[in-house]
Amino acid sequence: MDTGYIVVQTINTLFYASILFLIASGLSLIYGIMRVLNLAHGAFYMLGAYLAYSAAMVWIGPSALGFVLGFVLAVAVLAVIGAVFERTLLRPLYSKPEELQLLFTFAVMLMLDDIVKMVWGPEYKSYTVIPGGSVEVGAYQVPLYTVYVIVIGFAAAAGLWWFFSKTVIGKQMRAAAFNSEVAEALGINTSILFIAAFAIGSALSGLAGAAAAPILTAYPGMGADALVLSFAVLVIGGMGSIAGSLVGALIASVARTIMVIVYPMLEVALIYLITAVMLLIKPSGLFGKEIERR
Amino acid sequence: MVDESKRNTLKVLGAGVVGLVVGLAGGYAIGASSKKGATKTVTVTKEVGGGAAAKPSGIPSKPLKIGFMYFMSGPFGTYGKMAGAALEIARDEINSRGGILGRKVELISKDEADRQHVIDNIVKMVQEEGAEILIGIDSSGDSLKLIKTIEEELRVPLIVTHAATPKLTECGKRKYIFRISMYEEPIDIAAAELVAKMYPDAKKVASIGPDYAYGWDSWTVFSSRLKELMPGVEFAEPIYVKLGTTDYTSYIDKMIAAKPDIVFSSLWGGDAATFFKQAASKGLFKNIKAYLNPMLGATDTLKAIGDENVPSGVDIWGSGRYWFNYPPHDVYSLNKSFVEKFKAKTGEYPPYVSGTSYTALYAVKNAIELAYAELGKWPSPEELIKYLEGLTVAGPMGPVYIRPEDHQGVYYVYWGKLAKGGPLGFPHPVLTDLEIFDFGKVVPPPFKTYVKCG
Repeated sequence: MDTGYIVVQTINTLFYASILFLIASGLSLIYGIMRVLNLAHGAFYMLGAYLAYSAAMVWIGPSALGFVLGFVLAVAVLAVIGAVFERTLLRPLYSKPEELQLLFTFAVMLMLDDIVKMVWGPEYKSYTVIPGGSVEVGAYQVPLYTVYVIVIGFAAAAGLWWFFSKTVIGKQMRAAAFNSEVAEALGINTSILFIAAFAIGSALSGLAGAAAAPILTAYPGMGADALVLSFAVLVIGGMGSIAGSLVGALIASVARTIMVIVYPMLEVALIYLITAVMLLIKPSGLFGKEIERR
Repeated sequence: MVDESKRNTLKVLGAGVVGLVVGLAGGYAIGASSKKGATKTVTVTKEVGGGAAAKPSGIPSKPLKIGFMYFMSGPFGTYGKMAGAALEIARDEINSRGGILGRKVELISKDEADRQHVIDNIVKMVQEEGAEILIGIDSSGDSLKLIKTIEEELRVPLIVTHAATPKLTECGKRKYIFRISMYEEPIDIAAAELVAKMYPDAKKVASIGPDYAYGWDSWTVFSSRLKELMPGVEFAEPIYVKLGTTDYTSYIDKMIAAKPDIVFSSLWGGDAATFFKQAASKGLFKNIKAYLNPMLGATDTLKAIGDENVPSGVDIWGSGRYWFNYPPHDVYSLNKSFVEKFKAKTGEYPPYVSGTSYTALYAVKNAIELAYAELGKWPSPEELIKYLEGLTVAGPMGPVYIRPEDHQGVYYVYWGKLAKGGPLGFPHPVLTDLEIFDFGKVVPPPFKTYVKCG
C-alpha cells in the first residue's frame, strides 16, 4: 500500500463523509429543535441534486457559472420549500400523535419521488463532466471537485457550530429546543424559529444534493438510499447534535472505505453493524443526550 | 437483467430504525423438465408467404393478443420503453399487411418494475386479458422465477428478449420458453478471445460487476475462458457492488492499486455510465491497456457517458445483443429500415433490446404462418412450439437461428471499440471497428455452460 493510495482513499472517505454529514446534520438539526423526524428529508436531498443538475446542465450549461448557480438554487429553493412545508403542512400535525408525522412525511417523500419522475423522467441524470479537473497523486488521480466538496462539508460544520454557539438566533433555537414553553414565556417567537430551523435543515439537504450530483448522479429514489444511511449516521453520532453528525458521518465513511478495501461485498455491512452495536450499548449515540419522553 | 427491487423501493419506515437492505433473492425454481420431447427439427427459410390478401379459413376472428413485460418505469424504464416502441413498429408493419393470417396483432403489457407482482401480472395477462403469446423480461432473476408458471401453469410460449443468464436455456430443456436474444455466455467467451488476440502480453486482469447472478456468472465465464487461452494471466480479486451504486471512487483507486493491464466490467445501464465517468476522472484508463464491458453497446448507456468522457490512448471495448450499425445498412436493408423507423418514432438509435424484441414478434409471425402452411389450421401453443424450434428469422441483427435443442436463438457476437460519436455524425459515443465472432466459434453447444446449474 503506497502513500498515494492512502492519500486518495482518505480523500474518497472524506468526500463521502461530507455528503453524509450535510444530509444527516439537516435531519438532526430539525429533530433536535422540533422533535420532528422528517422522512421527506431524503427527498429534499434528491430535489437539491435535480435542481443543481438542471441549472448546471440544462438551464445555464456546463460552466463555472452553471455549477455555482446550481448550488445557490438548490440551497435557496430547498430553504423556501422547507419553510413553507413546516408552516403549512407539518405544523397542524404537532398536536397529533408522532406516528402521524412519520406517515405524513413518508407520504411526502413518496410523492416527491413521483413528482421528480414526472418532471425529470425516470433515468439517471448525470453531468457530462465532473467539474474542476483533477490532480495527480502518484499513479492516482484526484478530481479537484471532491476536494471542494470536503471543504464545503467542513465549512458547513464550522458554520453551524458558530451559528448555534455565537449568534442570538442560534442560542434562541437551542433554548426553544430545550423547552419551547419557557422560551416563549421569555419572549422568544418560537413560531418563527421553527420555520427558520426547518428552512436551514432543508437547505442543508439541498446543499448535499447539489454537492453530490456531479459525482453521484441524480436519480429517483436516491433520497431513500440517503435517508437510510443518515439514520445510521445519526444513531452512531447521536440525534440533535451537529458534532454527532460529523463524527457519525466520519465513522460511517471510514467503515465503508475499510470494507471496500478489505471485503467489498460487505461494503455497507460494517456501518450497520456499528449502528446495531451502538443501539445496544448507547442508544442515544456518541453525542446524543438521553431524551425524556414528554 | 435486474435481479433486485426497484432502486427507489423504500427500505425503511419508522423512527430511528435502520433498515438493512436485503436484496431480493430471486426465487429459484428451475423446474428442469427431463422429459425428452420429440425434437423434430424444422428447417425453414426466413420469410414465408407474401401478404395475407384473403383471410385463410379456420382462423379465429378476434385479434391475436401478445402480452409483453419489461421494466417500463423506474431507473431501468428506458429499456422497456425502447423495447415496447420496437414491438409497436413490428405490430404496425404486420397489421398494415393484414396481420398474421388475417388476425390483427394487439399488444398488451405489464410493468416488470412492479417487482412484487411479476408472476401475478404474467398470469393476469394470459388468464384474464387473453394473451396467447408472451414476449419480454429484462431481469434474469424474473426469467428464472417464471419458468414454473409458464411451463406448468400457463402453457403459452414466452419469448425472452433480454434476460441473459445461461441458466434460462442451458440448464435444462424448456418446453414453452424460448430466448431470441443472444445470452451472456457467448459474449463473455468472445471477450476472452478478444483479449487473447489483441493483448497477448497482458499479465493481470481486474474486474467489477453487479453483485447478483448476472455479475457473478459473467465473470466466471470470462475468467474461465481466458485462463484456458492465457494460462499465465493473473486475476485480481473480483469486485462486486450493489446494483445502483453511485460512488465507485474507492473501488477505482483499489483497482489502480492492483496495477491491472485489462479491466473487465459487467456493470450495465446507468451504473455502467456512472462508473465510467468516475473512472475517467480518476485516471483509471491512463493506467491500463484495455477496458471491456459486455453491456456497453447499449445506446442509453453511451448517451449517458457522452463524448466528453471518451478517453484516448486506451482501448475501450463494448458489446451487446445487437448493434444498430451492424450488419452495415448498405448491405442489409432490413437493419437500415428498422433503424430509420425507430429513429422516426423515438428520435433515438435503437438499443439492443429494441432489436431483439422486434425480432421476437416476427419469429411468432413466421412460426404461425409455417404451422398453418403445414397443418392448415391456427396452431395450438404446443404446435406453435414445434415451428419455433429450428426457425430462422431475419431480424435487424441478421438471421437468428432458434436452436431446437435448448430454444436459444443464436447469431454472431460482436465487440466494438468506443469512439466519440460527434465526428462520425452521431449524438453519442458509438462502437466502431467491430470484431465479429461467428456463433459457431463462441456459442457453446446446447446445455454446455461454464456456469454451475442447480
